Amino acid sequence: MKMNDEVLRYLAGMLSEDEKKKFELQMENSPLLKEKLEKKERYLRELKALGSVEADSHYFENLMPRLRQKMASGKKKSFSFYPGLAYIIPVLAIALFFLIKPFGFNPFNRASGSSAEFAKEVSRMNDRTKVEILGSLMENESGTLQADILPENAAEAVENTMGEELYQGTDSKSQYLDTDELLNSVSGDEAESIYQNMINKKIL
Amino acid sequence: MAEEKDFEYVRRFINGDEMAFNLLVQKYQQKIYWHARRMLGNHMDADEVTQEVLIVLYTKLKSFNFKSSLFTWIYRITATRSINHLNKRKVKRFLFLEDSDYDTLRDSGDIVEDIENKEKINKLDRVLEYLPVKQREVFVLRNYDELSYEEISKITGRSVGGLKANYFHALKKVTERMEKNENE
Repeated sequence: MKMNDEVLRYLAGMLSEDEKKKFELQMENSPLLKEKLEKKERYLRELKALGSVEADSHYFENLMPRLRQKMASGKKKSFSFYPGLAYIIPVLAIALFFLIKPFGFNPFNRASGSSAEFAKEVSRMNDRTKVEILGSLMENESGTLQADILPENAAEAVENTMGEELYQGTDSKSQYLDTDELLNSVSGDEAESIYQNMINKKIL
Repeated sequence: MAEEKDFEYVRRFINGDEMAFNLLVQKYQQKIYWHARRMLGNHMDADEVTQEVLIVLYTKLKSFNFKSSLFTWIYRITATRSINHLNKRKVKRFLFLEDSDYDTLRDSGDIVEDIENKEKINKLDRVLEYLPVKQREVFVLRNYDELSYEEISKITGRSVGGLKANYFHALKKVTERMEKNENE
């Protein structure tokens, strides 16, 4: 496993010059290591070949005329002929909002800081849903999620998977969070506590 | 040199030469489409993103500041739009708002027509779909667009260290997937 990771680090360009030299020297003396590297390089070549396909050139020849047509029809669809229409949509949206508000639905709840409502919604979800939504949030918010919002075992899982050296040069472990690894390591209860931490830190 | 040529086209377009825009489209349309296609995994979505990007280009080019290369700017728009599209799709799927015949529609009018090429690109999609969005983005930009980490960093605004870590995880997943496929 460690050997595999070393090969991947080499391929990803993560080794320093010294480490790279050491790895290459090690490879000369280890047929197994060499074999592993060649296998991974072969997979990458195969993947690259899968990506180079022949396509119908007419699509690209017609793209610009299609685009011009689309832009022209887009202009025609504007409200320039009927300026009054431009006001109808916002007015209808506001009217709709006040119509449905008495029934308890307020789409601005979360934005206006009604975190308790959101926390209540989360506690009603089943475990799988909690973790799934968390996955989407992790991908979108990975720049803002800090390791201290994670439960201990999830943070540990992240460290075990990636190794401390990956964190060097950054003060945010979240930058390197692997969503899949993380989601495999959290239970529904822990996902709920992550939401709670995110709410407390005003990420949500 | 290529950058200077791009700047010349942009200046000509700003001065009212519509042909200059056509030349820029001719130069970048394939890069835009194939990046979106590899990110989104089907023709319909890639076509939509390609058109969106070109429209943004047309409307915003007049405010281009000549501080970064046009190439970086176009890739930044394409990468952002592709990710937005993926996120939108994820939300639609989650809320059951996706068209019921989305799977049929997504390949309609596909520009990859013959069976052998179709099989190739479908096989690639099946491997790439295992990658979370950010890992897929780095993998596509490095392996298919052949960009350096520094160039990718300019496009995505992420640090080189972070990109390397993303690429490491992407490599791990795709090579495991390929191995699994090989052994099946």
